[in-house]
Amino acid sequence: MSLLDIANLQIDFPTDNGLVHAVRGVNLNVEAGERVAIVGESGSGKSVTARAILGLLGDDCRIRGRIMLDGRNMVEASAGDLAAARGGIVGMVFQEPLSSLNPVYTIGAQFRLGLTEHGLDDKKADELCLEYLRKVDIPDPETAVKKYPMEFSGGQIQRIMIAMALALHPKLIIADEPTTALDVTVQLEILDLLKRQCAESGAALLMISHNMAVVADIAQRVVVMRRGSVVEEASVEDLFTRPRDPYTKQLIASVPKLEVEDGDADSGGLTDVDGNDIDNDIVVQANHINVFYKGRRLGSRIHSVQDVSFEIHRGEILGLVGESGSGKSTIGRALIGLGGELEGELSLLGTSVVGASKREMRALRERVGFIFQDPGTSFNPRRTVGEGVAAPLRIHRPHMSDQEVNSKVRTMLEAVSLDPDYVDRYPHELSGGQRQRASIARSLMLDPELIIADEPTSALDVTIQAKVLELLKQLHAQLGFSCLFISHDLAVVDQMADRVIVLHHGKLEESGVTGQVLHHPQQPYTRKLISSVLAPNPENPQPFKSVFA
Amino acid sequence: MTSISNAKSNDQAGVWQRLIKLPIIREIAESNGAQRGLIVTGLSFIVLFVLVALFAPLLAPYGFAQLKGADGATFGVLEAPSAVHPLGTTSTGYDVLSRVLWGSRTALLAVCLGVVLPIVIGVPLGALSGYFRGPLDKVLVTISDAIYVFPTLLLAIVVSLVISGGQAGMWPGLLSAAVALSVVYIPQYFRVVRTEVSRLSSEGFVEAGRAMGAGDLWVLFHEALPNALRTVPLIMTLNAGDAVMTLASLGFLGFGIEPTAAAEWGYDLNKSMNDVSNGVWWTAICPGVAIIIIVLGFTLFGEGVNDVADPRSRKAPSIAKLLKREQTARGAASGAAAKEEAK
Repeated sequence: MSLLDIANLQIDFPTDNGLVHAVRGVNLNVEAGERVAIVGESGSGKSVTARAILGLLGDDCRIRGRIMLDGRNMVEASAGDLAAARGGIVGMVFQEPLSSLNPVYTIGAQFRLGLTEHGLDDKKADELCLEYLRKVDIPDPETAVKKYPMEFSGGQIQRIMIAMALALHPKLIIADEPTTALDVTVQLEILDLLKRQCAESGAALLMISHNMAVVADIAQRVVVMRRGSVVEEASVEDLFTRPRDPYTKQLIASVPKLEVEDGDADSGGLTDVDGNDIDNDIVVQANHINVFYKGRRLGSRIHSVQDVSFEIHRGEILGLVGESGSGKSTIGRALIGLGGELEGELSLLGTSVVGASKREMRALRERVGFIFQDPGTSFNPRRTVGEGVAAPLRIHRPHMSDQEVNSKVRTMLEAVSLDPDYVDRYPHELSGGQRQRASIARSLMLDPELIIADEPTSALDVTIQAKVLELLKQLHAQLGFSCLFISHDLAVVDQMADRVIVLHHGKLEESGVTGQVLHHPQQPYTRKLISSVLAPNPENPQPFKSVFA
Repeated sequence: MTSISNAKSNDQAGVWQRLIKLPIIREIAESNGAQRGLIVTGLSFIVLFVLVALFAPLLAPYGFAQLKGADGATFGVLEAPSAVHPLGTTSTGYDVLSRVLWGSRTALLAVCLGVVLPIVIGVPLGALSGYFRGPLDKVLVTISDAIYVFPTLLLAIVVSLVISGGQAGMWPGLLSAAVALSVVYIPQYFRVVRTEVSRLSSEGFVEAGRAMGAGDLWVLFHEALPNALRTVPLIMTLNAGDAVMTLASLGFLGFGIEPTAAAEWGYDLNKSMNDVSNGVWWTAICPGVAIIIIVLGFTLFGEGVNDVADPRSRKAPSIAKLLKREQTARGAASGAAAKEEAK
């Protein structure tokens, strides 16, 4: 008998707009000691399925079917049985490291609570706590137990969560997107830890992920879900080498790939992706810029960008790469005079941004388009998409007639492959990808000379991301704007950028032609970054590790 | 034929869709069970109140300060309810029913002033303070915190003494109540709007406005403020009830409006204090009930709307109901398909 056997699971949620069929007849089993991944895009029902196993969905929904966990049907289990299963039979690791621990209790107290609930006495619990914190490589566990969650980094919290999940020798670990909120270099460490600990303790792993590369790295068997149903189930080798379902194929093909091996570095003059010479006209010139934010204490300052220099030539796409906290978004915002205090020399379109008056700054912003990361909040929820996209015209062309504005908006929406009739819709009626297209349309309304794109696709599903990137590229070829493309994803930057600069803790690590930097990284940090990239290839999930590590 | 009726029903559906987006109607449509009971009861009390206030001259048998009938005979004092005086007369000889009906006008004016003045001042101040922060914000927050400790009634008494020396005509009496209320209510609107605007300032679409090169005031009033007004209607309804109470309290304490200037329930209650011990109930109960109905109306409505606005207190529709709805939809679809085939 399997450890976990889910048969014909159906889950419905009542909402104001009718019943939502989140899971529609899913069959799934996990054998003891096996590592299985459920992969799917947002709305596929993967998380709901995983939460149903432990009865974490609340009373409002309707669950039908059977979830046999270690011989017990969890759909009909009593509250006591569920409590015993949580932590005892199944350990759970959640996505958001910062919100999965209670901020007002120390790590030790929370650890102990989880264990004493399952009948251990305090002394035994504390011993186990130290033992497992050591197992997951938390430095100095004796002091760590006295610290509060906020004193740890996201990666460390995730380690602690894994330690907690393991402490009661569960037969199954459920990890719901455990690395999604983490930087790539940290992600790799967490995945290794999960694999190692599962092997050591003999626990099975059920991993929920949207990331094909992560799945290729960790799973032995993969279940692909879409819109509440399983579309394909196969061993990881089969799935990636011989995907049967068209959706799986699309999912694999959409993963942006970092091509390092075959590209030989062309170190010649500046050429863009198409091989054309790039105009030497300079759009942005940054010389030793520093950006400071106000610190929490009065008078203190946080030095978020330190002595960074770069330039953007007319018509080129400059990639700005870095992990969270590297200052990459700060630079994007500083270009148009938003954010903290700017020092150094920064000229945008021939005007100095440092010390520019409000009026000058506004005139400059007219010539720059900005694309934001989160499509969920970049449009005013109270105004229609048409009004949102028209805003740049309303601000800078107040005398334009409604008719002209309207026709320009419709043309722009068409240019980003959106139905022009969407002008009357409200932002929440559009999908994330559609909103991001609208956001691109808005940024292009005034024929800008420079586009600043701040992680434009990192909130999107991979298949949507591929389309939006394609659109951006095509518009760039048509309109010839310059672009600062900010991203944490090396593969995406590789696809988009002519040149790239790498940031780390606010300092410039490396810069150069994209191919050059990615093929022949000079700095140890860049090498580490590249070797952390996972590829959707189970035989060689870390293709660059041997090359650069 | 069928297509025409279809178009018609579609049209009706369209009207309903638009209706349902209007405030109040949307709240009623989204509510269920006890919440809907609260909203509908509260709303009917409020509507009754407003209608009576508007049509008081038509509804009331006499004027609010009338002491003589049409025949020139003076009304009796403390007359029990009769056909001539349905709710009796007061110790001064006024008709109680007329005083109660006319009093609703005074109360409605108090509500309007007590709600409008603080909003007009509090909302823009809160918006500016929350958006620009800085020293102005610090000063305003300190002032509004200080005002929180002021007792409304004491303030109202002081203001009424300043404005009118205690006894007053209708407008000075109303104004003193309104000014005192405004001082106390402005911080409420100020706080709520300030917090919301300051939260929204880091929101994507506000940032987007700035990044597009819009001026600060455009961003504030076009993008941030419309999204920051969610809780304002709730404060409005709660304050409206409070405004009626404050006006009545002022009148009761003898700092209100002269009986010859306007009808005011608090004054009448004050004058009826002796009557109660003498077995005369109608002079006290009638204005008292009027006050209760109005305050209750606003409070119930406010609480109901508040519940609906908070998604956690809203119950999702039951699964059985949704299943039924789905089945009928499917039935209708298959029925339509069958018809198509029959053709």
